[in-house]
Amino acid sequence: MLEVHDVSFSYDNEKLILDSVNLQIRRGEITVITGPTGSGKSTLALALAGFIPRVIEGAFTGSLLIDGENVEKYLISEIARKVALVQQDPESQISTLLVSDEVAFGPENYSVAPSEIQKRVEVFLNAVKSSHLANRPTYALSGGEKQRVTIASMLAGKPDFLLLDEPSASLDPKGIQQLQKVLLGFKNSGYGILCIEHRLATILPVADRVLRLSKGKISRWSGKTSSAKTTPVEHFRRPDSAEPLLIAKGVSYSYGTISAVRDVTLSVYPGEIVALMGDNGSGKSTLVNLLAGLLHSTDGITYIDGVPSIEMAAQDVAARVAVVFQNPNHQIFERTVQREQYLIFDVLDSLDEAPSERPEEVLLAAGLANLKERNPFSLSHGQKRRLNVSSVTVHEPLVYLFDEPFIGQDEIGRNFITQTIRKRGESGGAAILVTHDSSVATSLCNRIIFMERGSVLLDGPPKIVLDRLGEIGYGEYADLGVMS
Amino acid sequence: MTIEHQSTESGSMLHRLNPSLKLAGLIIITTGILIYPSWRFSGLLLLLTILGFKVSNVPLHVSKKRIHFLMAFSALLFIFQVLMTANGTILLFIIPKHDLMGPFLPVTDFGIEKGFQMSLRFLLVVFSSMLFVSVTDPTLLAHSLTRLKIPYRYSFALVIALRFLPLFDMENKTVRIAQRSRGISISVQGMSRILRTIRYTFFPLLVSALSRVDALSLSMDGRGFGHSRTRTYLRKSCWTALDSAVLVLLSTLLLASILLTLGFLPQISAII
Amino acid sequence: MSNGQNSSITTRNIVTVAILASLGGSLSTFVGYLGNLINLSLGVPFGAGQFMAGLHVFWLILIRVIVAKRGTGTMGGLLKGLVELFTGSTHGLVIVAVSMVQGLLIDLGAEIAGTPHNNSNISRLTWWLSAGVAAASNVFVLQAFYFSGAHWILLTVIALLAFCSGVIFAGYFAWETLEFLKDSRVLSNSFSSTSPFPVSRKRVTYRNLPAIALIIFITVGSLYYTVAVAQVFSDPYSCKVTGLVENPYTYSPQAFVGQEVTVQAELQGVNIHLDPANYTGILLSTILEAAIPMAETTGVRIVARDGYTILLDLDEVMTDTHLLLTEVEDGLWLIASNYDGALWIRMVITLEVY
Repeated sequence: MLEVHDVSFSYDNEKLILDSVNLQIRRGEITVITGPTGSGKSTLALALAGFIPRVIEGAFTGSLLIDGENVEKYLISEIARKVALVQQDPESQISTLLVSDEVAFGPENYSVAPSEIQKRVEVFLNAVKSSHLANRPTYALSGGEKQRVTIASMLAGKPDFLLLDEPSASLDPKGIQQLQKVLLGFKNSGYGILCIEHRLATILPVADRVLRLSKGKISRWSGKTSSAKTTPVEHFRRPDSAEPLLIAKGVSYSYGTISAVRDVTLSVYPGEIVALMGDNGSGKSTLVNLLAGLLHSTDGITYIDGVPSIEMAAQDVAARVAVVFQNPNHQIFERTVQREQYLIFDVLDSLDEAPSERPEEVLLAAGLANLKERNPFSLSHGQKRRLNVSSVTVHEPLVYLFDEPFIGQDEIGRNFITQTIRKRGESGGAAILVTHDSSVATSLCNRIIFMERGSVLLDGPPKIVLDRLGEIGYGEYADLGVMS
Repeated sequence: MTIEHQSTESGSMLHRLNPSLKLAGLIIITTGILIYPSWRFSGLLLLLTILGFKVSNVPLHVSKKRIHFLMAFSALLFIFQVLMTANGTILLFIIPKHDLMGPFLPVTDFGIEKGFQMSLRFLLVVFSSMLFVSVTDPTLLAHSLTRLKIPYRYSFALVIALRFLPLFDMENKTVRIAQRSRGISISVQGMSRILRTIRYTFFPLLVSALSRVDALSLSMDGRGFGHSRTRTYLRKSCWTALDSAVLVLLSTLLLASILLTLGFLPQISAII
Repeated sequence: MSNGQNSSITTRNIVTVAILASLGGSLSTFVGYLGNLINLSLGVPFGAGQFMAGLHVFWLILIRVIVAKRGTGTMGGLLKGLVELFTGSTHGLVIVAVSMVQGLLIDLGAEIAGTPHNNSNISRLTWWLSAGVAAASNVFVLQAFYFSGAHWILLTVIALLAFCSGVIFAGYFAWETLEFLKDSRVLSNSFSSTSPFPVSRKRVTYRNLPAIALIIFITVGSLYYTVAVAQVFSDPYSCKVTGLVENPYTYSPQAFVGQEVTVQAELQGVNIHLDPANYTGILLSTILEAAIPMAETTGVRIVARDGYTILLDLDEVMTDTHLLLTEVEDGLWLIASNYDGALWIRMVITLEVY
């Protein structure tokens, strides 16, 4: 049994992140901890894995026990042999170039004999259903594959307890189902498992017990999902006379020899809010970049507001299209929130004509009005995301293209982004959002485009598309209709 | 820009050589040609390098852009030497005598020889480095460096750096696309524009890269990195008789180039 | 951690060095691209790209300041060079040498500057200067490989350009970046206490004004020195007389005033013919006599600045009354009227008796 007794922790000696927490993780059981963003879930995982107080500084009190023994005197490398932590972003946790090297990394450090290491690499890759990846370079893996390799590499040190922080965050519905199977397998082989999960529904089917962490305290989870009621959007009728805002005609794109988008033809009309769905790697993000005129298709042609995008200058594109990419850090350029918000007017040389109230109003709606002088990179993930949305839509371009905008958002952020998208649709513009979340697709969107291996598989009203998906073997998209 | 390394399993003789030895070889060739700058010596080594590509079955992949650069730069080096060298037997003048003016810019046999020296040296450095990279697995290189008493924690930094490279290349592209989406274009007109261009590219990438430091170091600490002074390896190249033979060969080469430089081998230096 | 210069290096330190070196290596193509843009905008084929040289050193400065441990500059330089080697840098192994020398110089500068903790302007100045020196070093390393024989004035100008680039990008801009990173809170716990600058809302520019002024002074000063003053010391009209002689010395025409000889000579080359003209200078035999060649010496090796070398028989030289060194605009020329045109040498710098 892995347990913490009366653990309190603060990074800065002021704000208490964990407040006398007691928790026990038993072997052969999957424990899930849920709670709002910023409630200290990740901090708790770091304490359970012994990183707090050994590697991470701060004010720590309380004790960590493994099978009843207080491990206060243990080094981190000794605790790590018993407890393994898989952090949120698998990408950042891979340290080697080859999958088998990655799994071997732990045992190598503990000077395990090479023949035994070889055995472990095979066993644990097999346990995460990834034996076929052994000789692949790590950078060429998909998000789900990276995560499974990371789990295998943690288990190769043969710990008894496995802690996972937001394991479903970057997974598509297929990946989530695979993860559930893998975790069940580990539970049955006797591991004690703790999952920290914000999207509770993704892990609920395999959970033995669910706890809630809020304001540094653990409590029993009440069983209520916080997901808002979903009211399907009324059926949308495209005005007959309207000209499409975005057009793709026979568009293809490949990265070197790998084809990402194949022969896509579609039009997006004023008033449409489109959910762009599909498995990871199906070409959604590439299609967004093509439609936004940011990548030039290898074949076919795209139009923005009637003009071929290849003929448009960067400023003209920016004036008409707003794009939000997946990683918020990649699209912040200025040194204060305020300057970031006004950047587009500077670029478009319309700083003088900038409407005086609008930028401030948008910041206020995004909940960032009191952070104007802050360095935007110092904001929380959710705040950064809202700044991304607010700074690309402040000049009200015609079309919004958002790639997974809801990941890591709490209620405020979710509402702000939803409202931003809805308003654009109502005022004669259009929006496309990439999402795995079918409840978003049904509650916010009036059209779903579903992609498979670079091509459009289905395109139509949400209800019809989702029903059809169930029939053709993509049932997980309908089943896992949870708020992300 | 991706890492163009091959797995050692593809098995040519060069692939199987000890990675540290290969690195030493590359250093020796480069040093040799630096201290004994004869164009015949460079040419000979360049031929051997090309032969190395053949022996190890590595296709000489050179992109068109690369060829252009290689040609342009070797031409530049050649012309530079020809222009900077006034001595030797004059072959012609670039600007011939015209009335009272000139002649200017003589081309001499010595200048041309020096031109060949430099451009061949450049090509040798480029191609021998390319050969080294294409037959060396960087992970095995890092591992084999521990033989030279470099602690594994330090040599492992090479593995980490190369592991993140494709990711950073991708993020670099993403940031450039994100810039375009905001209408930002690259400009070098004036200092403030240059600084802005750099800021807009460096800052997002720096933050993104540094935000990975914590997760990676926790993940490594959490798998016993540095648990003891030594560790074992799933894959490690061992030292073979072939390695010893190549080591002898390389030492001879180094010694020869030193002796040639010092003028102790007049008979040989007359030839190469 | 406040004075962590010698405490052992942590996993976090290693990861930081590796990640920054990797990013720096990845962005070197972008930096090269910027350099090309600058070349293009100035209409020159190469050289102005050196104005971006500081952006390579920038990463090493970041590494050395953020990790703040002895030797991490060199480690970072070596890594960044290896990353570029493995991604197929056009300069191959040379780039590793260039980058490692830069790291070494940064470490050296860091030693002189003291703990990065030390906030004085002098400390910052030392950092910035070592950044400039490190950036300029690439010119000399590359010169050793590819441009040997380049004129020192050309080298100096390019090196100065690189130096300024180092001060601007790896000094001024690196400091702005460090401040920015600190402000963005991405450098967590360990860095905050070893910050090289005070927390202040004032703009970087104003606070660094004294350092900027000093740097400008030093740059302008060294430019003046190299162009105006240094020329006196490396007099092109001088030549070393060495080898197996009793009295090695540096020959300069002024020391032989009154001993000039004038000869009429005609250059007869394969492709060149200089009509008979009068040349005035000091006979080679006079110059060599002053050095007193030892017994049993047989020849003299004459070396030009560009490396061109010829061998002449000592006895013949000592009896030749038409073989002299004369002063021409670019240095001392050997007028060898009795010999083939290939033995007329420009810019003689060494006479070595053997």
